[in-house]
Amino acid sequence: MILFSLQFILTNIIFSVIICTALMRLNKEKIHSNLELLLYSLGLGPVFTSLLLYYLLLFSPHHSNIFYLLGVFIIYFILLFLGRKYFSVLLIGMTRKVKNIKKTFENLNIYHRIELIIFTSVLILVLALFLFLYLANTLQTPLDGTDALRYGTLGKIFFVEKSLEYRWMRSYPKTGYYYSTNHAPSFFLLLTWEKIMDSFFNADKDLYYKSLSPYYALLILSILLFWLSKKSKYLALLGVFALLSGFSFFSTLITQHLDSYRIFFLIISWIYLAYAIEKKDSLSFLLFGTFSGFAAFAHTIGAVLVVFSCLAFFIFMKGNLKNRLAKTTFIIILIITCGWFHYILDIFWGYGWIIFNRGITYWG
Amino acid sequence: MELWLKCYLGILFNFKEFGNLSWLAIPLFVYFLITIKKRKRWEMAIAFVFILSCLSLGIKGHGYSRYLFTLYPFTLTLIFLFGWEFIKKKSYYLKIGIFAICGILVLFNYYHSRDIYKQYWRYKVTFEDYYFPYEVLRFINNIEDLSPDSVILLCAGRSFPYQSYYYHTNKKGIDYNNPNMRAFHRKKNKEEALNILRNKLKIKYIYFDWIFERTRILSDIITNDCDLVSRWENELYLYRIREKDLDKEELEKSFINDSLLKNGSFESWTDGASRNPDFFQGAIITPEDYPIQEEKEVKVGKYSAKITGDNFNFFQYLSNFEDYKDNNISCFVWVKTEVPNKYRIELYDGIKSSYSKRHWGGGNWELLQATHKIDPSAEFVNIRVIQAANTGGVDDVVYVDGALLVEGYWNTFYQYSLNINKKE
Repeated sequence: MILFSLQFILTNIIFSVIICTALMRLNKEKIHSNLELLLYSLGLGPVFTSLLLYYLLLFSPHHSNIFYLLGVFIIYFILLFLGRKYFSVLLIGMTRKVKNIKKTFENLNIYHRIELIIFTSVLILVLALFLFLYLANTLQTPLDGTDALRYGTLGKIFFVEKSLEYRWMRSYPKTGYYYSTNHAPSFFLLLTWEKIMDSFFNADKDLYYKSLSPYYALLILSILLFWLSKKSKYLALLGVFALLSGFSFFSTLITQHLDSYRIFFLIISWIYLAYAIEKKDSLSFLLFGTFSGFAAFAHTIGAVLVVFSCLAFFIFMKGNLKNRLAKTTFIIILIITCGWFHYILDIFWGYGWIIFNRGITYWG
Repeated sequence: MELWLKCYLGILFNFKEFGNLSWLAIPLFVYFLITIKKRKRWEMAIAFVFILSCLSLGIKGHGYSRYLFTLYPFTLTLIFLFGWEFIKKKSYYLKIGIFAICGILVLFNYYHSRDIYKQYWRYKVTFEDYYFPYEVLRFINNIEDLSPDSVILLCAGRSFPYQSYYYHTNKKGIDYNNPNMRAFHRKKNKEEALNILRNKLKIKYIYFDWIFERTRILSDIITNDCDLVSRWENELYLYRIREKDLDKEELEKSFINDSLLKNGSFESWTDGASRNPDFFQGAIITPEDYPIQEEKEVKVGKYSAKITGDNFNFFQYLSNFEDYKDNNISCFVWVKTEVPNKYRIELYDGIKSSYSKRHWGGGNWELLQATHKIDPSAEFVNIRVIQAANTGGVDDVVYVDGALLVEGYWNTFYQYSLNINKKE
């Protein structure tokens, strides 16, 4: 559990904050709030780590665990260097936010104070209860979803082989495992990442891999809370309970799957599509392309739906044709770099997904 | 209609999966269209992407709710944001009224799906109904008699049992449909097919999912030449291919001497060869139609019982059942029939029943088994060594022999006999 906590904090929190500070560097016009950037960035640590591992295993396979660990760490050190000044900005911003909340709270009359205390307590209590039950019980159960097992087995194969070559084959001769999946290996590689870190501690577990589904589900809940609380805190509370009343979403909190993972990137890519069209700032363009790429990197559904996003961007963006074409090309390059690249390889050297198969299918 | 509501328009109308507020997207979309001239470009872009995504997932998602789920969190957020825009300038009381209605709808959905939430609570938090083949997978990981070139034959499709085998075990497997299995599939004779499995493919174990569609040769091998060594409920089985035939004396020793049932091998027929064997009751279809003492189709000892008929129980009351209250008992019975899915074991204590899987009906002797925890308040224990379903087949025939009842939970007869041998 200690090792899991370390992996979780390192990959999901520290790496994400490093990316956030690097992005803050680009937010010179202060168009985006730091809180919003931080919230979205919390989902970037795992997927960016997975992307780094993807390129390392693809272009430099069959090396030792330390090679891949260092490869990932070096990139994060570069990002850390780029965003070093913004740690203090982020910290000061957070402290100011807390002070503002405190000031606002002091200015409230007694009824509104009680109302706010009850409102916050309900949210914290529900979250604390869930985390307690999840960490103590649910997380400890073995991995048991058919898809999660399939992706996990592939993640283990990548770890053993230190290569992605078996991703484009239909069987693994060393164990006799037969499989087929069209999705990019973003989610699978997070188990590979966990195993790489485990290897330095002689551990063999999958707690981090299993924790990804509820982590991203909680992030989706936080996004809903963030946007709706801008309108009304009761609207936000109703929204959270409404989202959880759908059994599909509730199950992502307790089962092990990539649904919340893939949906998170798609939602943020749409948010930045809107920002890119409305605000037209370079950070919005960058994040629209990046999150769309990650949505494609997570699942084939994302790979198809981001095409619609690009189309929408091209149609609804203001400007002349040349300008719109240039910007859309920039977005497409970003999408390809952040995940669609896998499907290009797949089309020409793999399963022939989309172009040479009978038709587009979402079935993995 | 259901196809449209649950599949193509599932994101709006599949209340169980996506809550019962998603349909509000329809009136809000109409409102959007009416006010489209006032809409900003980014709003139109989002609407454009959303509609294309809905169409794409509805048409190409094959009605699979997991794919429609992609849009659920975004749809709901849009409904609330857009809905707020619609009501924000309305009166305070109207807002409260709309909030209350939405709250009631959400609560209703929780109430309506309460059994699913309870089930998940028992499944994922308290583990009352936890469902996982621990024992089989642990057994496979601990197998020591596999040489490096030996493999386990996997008859498990591509679903959960197959995937959990590869994720949770460290043994090499060969899929039943693997091209290397062609030599086995070509054989029309059981002995030749078995020889291929044993010597050419080096298969020692068969990992078998109950829904796997078995061929007659595979079934014959499983029932005649394998020991069931581990199982998960009545769903997943691990068989070991025997290196030599069953030792008849050993088998008879266990089935005759160890049983808590009296006359479990049907050797005593005091009332005659066409009356019930001693200590057993039931299976009297008509006043003349009793079980018959059988001399040819025998698994253990000299005789077995041949029963013809439909919808009956052939049973014995456990005489000293009070000694086993609140404890487990395990029952193993050799059964032979050509009628599929009709016969099984039932262990009944007046409060609860436990069952074996049903005989697959391949015309071979198959060892059925069931385990049961006797309720502390039980007033009797009825060991129904054969329970025949009501199928209308009044001429259906079943042979039963070697009914063994032992104390304790035994996952398989193989594990029970290993334990007995160790003690000796």
